[in-house]
Amino acid sequence: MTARELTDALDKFQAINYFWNSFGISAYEATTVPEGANLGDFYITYEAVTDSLDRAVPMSASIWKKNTMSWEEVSQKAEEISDALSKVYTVPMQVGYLYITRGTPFAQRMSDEDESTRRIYLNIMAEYLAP
Amino acid sequence: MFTIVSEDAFDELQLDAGVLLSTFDITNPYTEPSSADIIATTTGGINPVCAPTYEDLAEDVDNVPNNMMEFKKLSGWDCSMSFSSIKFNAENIRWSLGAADTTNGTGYKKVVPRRDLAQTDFADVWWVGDKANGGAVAIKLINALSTGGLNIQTTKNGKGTNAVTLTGHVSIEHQSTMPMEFYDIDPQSNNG
Repeated sequence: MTARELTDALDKFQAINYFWNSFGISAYEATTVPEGANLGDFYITYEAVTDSLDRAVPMSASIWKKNTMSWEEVSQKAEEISDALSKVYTVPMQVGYLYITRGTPFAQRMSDEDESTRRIYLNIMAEYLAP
Repeated sequence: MFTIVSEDAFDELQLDAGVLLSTFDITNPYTEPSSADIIATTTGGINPVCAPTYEDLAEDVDNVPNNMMEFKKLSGWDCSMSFSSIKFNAENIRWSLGAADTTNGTGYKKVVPRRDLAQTDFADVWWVGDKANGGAVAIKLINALSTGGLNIQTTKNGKGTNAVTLTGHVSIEHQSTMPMEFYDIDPQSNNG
């Protein structure tokens, strides 16, 4: 089954969700996470913004790892996402494609109120090759 | 009514700068190129051009309007690839000079322009780029020679660049083979 057949029913928001969920850990749109929700130890939260052809949209996400003092896992996950975006990365949609590239700066370590939480903040650019 | 695009309008978009290769297997296109086959690290993208040269045989004939198709003659194709390379080593300098040779010293390589052009200075070059649908597009510049020479620009607090123009050539052995070929490659899942 081709990538087009797997994802050809996706709209723009679903395509963003598909991208962030393609790295082996769960990803949640930040605005849909209830206050105090338990998302597990290792996950991604992202924001979702859409536009149309020829306008690249900056978007951000965070990789979270709870109950650890080590940066290793979040750093590896950020590296994995970076590697994926070092090549052309497109997600087929109902009409057109979601085209994702690295933003600037791409990855930034963030402090958290909880000292046992490790978080890396990511910037990407998303272009909707679609009407 | 006519503000509309077809549903497959976005499948064939070309994305990203692509890569310049010394060799490319069109029958097995999705093998990752080896570093040795990548001839340049580029900045600002790559600009392949293939432009016909036409003569109007009736241009000086009275009462014949310009561009009458029956008098149009195709005299040839000017095909080239232009780009800025940021890779500086002896091999890149040699082929950007075109007619040049490299010799090895102790701890260095010396590149000198040659007085005469050699047939071995010509070599095929490929540009291969990704498409939005997972496919690729490839362009082969046949018998390429750097005709723009070495053209280095350094920058304060920045990277040096070398502006290169490669021009394709027709060979006396294949006089009907024009210097550029184009390949539209199916997405990997449909390919082989």
